[in-house]
Amino acid sequence: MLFAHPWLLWGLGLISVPVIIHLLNRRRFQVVRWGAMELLLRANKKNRRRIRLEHIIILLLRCLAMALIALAVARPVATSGALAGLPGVGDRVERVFLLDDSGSMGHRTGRTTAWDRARQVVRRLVEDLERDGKGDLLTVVRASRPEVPDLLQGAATNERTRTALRALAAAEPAAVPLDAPRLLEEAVRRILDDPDGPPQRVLYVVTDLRRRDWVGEGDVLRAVGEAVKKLPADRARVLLVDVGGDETRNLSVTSLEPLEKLAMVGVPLELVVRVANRGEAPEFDVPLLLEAGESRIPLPPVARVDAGQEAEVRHRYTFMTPGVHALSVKLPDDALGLDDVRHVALEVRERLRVLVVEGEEGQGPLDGEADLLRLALAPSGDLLTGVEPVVVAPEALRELDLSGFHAVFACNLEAWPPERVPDLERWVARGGGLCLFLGDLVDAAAWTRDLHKRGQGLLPCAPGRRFEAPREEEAPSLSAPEGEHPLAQVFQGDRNPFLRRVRARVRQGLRVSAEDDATTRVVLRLDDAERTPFLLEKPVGEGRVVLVNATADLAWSSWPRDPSFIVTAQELVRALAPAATAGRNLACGQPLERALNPARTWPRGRVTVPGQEAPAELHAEARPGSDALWLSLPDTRRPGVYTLELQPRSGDPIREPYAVNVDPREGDLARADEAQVMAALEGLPVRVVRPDATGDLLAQSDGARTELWRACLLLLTCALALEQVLAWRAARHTTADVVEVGA
Amino acid sequence: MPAVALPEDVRDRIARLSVGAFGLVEGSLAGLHKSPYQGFSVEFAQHREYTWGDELRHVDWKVFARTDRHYVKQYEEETNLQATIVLDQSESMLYRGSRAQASKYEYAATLAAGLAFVLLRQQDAAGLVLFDDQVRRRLPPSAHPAQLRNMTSAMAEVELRAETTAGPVLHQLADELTRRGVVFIISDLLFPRAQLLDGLKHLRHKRHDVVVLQVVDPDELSFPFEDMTRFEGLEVPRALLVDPRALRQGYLEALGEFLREVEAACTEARADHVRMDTGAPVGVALARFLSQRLGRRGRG
Repeated sequence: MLFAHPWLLWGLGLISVPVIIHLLNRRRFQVVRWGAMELLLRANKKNRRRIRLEHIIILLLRCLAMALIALAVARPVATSGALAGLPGVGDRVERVFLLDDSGSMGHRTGRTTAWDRARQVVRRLVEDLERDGKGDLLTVVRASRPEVPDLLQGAATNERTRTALRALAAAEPAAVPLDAPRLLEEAVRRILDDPDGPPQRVLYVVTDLRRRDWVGEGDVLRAVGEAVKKLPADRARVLLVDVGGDETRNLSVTSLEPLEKLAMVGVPLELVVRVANRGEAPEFDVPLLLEAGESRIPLPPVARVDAGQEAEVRHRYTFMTPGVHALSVKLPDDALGLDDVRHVALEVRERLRVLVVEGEEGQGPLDGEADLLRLALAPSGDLLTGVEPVVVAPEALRELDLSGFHAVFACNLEAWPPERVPDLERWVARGGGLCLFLGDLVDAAAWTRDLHKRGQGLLPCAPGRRFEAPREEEAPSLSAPEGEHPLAQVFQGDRNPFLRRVRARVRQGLRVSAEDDATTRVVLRLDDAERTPFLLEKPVGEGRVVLVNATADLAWSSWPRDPSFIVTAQELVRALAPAATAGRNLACGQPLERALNPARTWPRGRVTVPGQEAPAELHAEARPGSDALWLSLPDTRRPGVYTLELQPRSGDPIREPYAVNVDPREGDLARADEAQVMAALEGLPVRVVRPDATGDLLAQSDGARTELWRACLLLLTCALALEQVLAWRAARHTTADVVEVGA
Repeated sequence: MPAVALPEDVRDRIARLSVGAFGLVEGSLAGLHKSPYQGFSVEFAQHREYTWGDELRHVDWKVFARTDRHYVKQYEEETNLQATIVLDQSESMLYRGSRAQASKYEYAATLAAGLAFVLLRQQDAAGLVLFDDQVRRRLPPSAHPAQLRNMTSAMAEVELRAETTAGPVLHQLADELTRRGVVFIISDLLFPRAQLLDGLKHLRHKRHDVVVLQVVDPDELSFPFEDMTRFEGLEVPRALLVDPRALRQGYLEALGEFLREVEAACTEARADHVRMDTGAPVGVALARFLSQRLGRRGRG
């Protein structure tokens, strides 16, 4: 039995009032000297038992009425505990709160956000449990970190629970999308791993029930259902507690991106801003503000954004200094502030540094393996390409720090030093571009082992058998590219004259395995019978790897002396170079990681987190298979511009901004259809509830919990009516009983 | 000391009424009552020797002169009524409710005075017996006009204290009242009904015309008490603290049973029984009683 206002149970003391009045009445009496005492004594003897019984009943009814008044104002609630006689009802229950703290929970409806209401639900249930005193346990898990519960099986009244609730009261939505299946799977796993825990479990998934979180493409609910199915149906149930508001009007900045891949000093960079209208009515003249460092630049307002549509605004911005810059675009605040701002961090460069690894050194001018490539990348004379090639021998790879280069060209390289392959892989994955030219020095076995790894490595495909045409005239040429690609742009069109000018006298019979090399794309093919791939591309992480079925010199093909080679080399650099935004723009929740060369930088750093004045200290750590040390900030659940400050062993500190953005879909406040949710979860112990005005979640989850004040009032009415009847009957208020005298 | 007097309004109301006996009564006053005996009258019947108590005016001085012996003359004429009023002076008669004109004793005494007034006015003899557990005072029947004053004085001088024990009293009266007449018993009858029945039967056996005037207070009939009340017995040394509303029904049932028993006893003894409510003006009650009795006598 719970009471909404237990302190009013002091009113039960009113029970003594009728007793006191009765006793006082017995002390206050009139004295009548009576003649017909014999009759009175006879009547008393005959009726004494009945009168006493009536008095006791009336007194009890009056006491009951007082008790019912006290109970009614204390608002009793029958719980499972009140029905403890029923089998299994009195079992201890673990109540697991799975709190959706995704960005959309910050949506404000009226005076409160969905997150406020979610915490209110938890607080009220804890208060109810405190009053219940049945010893139920409480577990609180936030969806943004399901592996780390805020509270694990804490009693409602203990200090651990109070501490956790205080921390929860200070927490904000994490701005990460809700991964509902993962959240439930983690909770179910924890329950299944704890067979000796409380016999009954109730999972309260407190969420705003947004469609993108719960329906998605239709597979989310299925995954949720699969997770719930693992729960023992007779010992666990799931409540989707819907705390979301029905208002969906919201404007979001869905993207802030440079139109070009690279940002160069002094070169105007076109920025594209997209604004989405998530509401159901068009919005007009939406103002936008661009923040660049200390500058505040009003952008042209968005004239009109139709409901459910996006509008685009473009703005050209010129960076005057190299380095990493952060830009932000803001909308006026609305009901969901989280998606009203978007940030981008760009690396603005003066030039592109390209590492050229020359596998075979030449004896004379332009005789080296990479001489023609070096000329193609940085032609002599007045032509400025912005590319700075650095040619090294293969041995240099053992020591070289790749982080200073935007692209790496390896020409006729026998093998990449195996111990440096993981660094190369990480460098590519973080946005680096690698171009590999074949040659006769290539150790196919080493390449297959270290670089291809049956499709798990960097190589777009495994090396093949060497084919050589007897004469150049018989060598295959290039086929016209089948699709659009920047690298093949120069060869577009069947009658393109460059196609026939390239002769591949020597080639490898490369084969792209559909199984291992699923992500490899063949950009150019030869026109031999096998249509041997000539230029292949494979995306790896944020970077890419290009394999050319030719040497960078004239040993295998005539391409290096063709003008198309220069064009393609330039395009290759730009395609391979990390985008200006690469590695510096993270989604909320994605860890911020930075590799350090301990020889050049102190193995520590400080990061300034948005909204926090004091920077957090980071210490670099080694990782298996890497010479570099790594700084890592795993918690990036708060959107904004993070600034990482590094201290080189010589020189001034380096400040690197990182942009952390909320998933733009968080602004989509469209609600999941409850019927659809329940249909997908039919047959499972899942219910969707909305906390009522009293926030009485226990009643909604346990079912046996009902407000009893109406019943109390009804009983009170009955008790008073019965008391009146009995009192009237006892008093016999009727004149008909007067004995008529003397006819 | 209770105030006993005959109020003027009572006197006026009953002045023209009379008390009659239903059967033959022994008496000496001519007019209203047929006497079975010879008495003092204008029509001479015989002489008899003087005895103590005979009025000297009836002595036949001529016979005395001739015989030197005292003889009184007896005449054939209508007899006068000899009525004895038996008044209960027990402590229970002290009760007076809020709606009563007077206490039961005062009311009963006024009734007795009224009756005596009527009797004396019609030149009948009226006597008085005051009793509780025994006969406390007795005024022999007399038709003398001073008898009314003597009776009221006697009734005013009583001290009500003891309980009623009517049985021995009535038997004693039946033995002592040698001359047949009317016996008015004025009481609340709060004593055992068997005693009442035996006494009445004894009186009736002696050929007396017995009239029982039962005096009751309105409170005794309706038991109107509301608040907690401690009832202390006026005669019975018992007290009872009770919620009177709860006991009312039971009391009224007991009262009804009591009244029915009284009625039955009177009927069985062939005595008249009339309840007198002290809430009603005594003159009205007495006048109505006498009128009804006169009417019945006329019809009888």
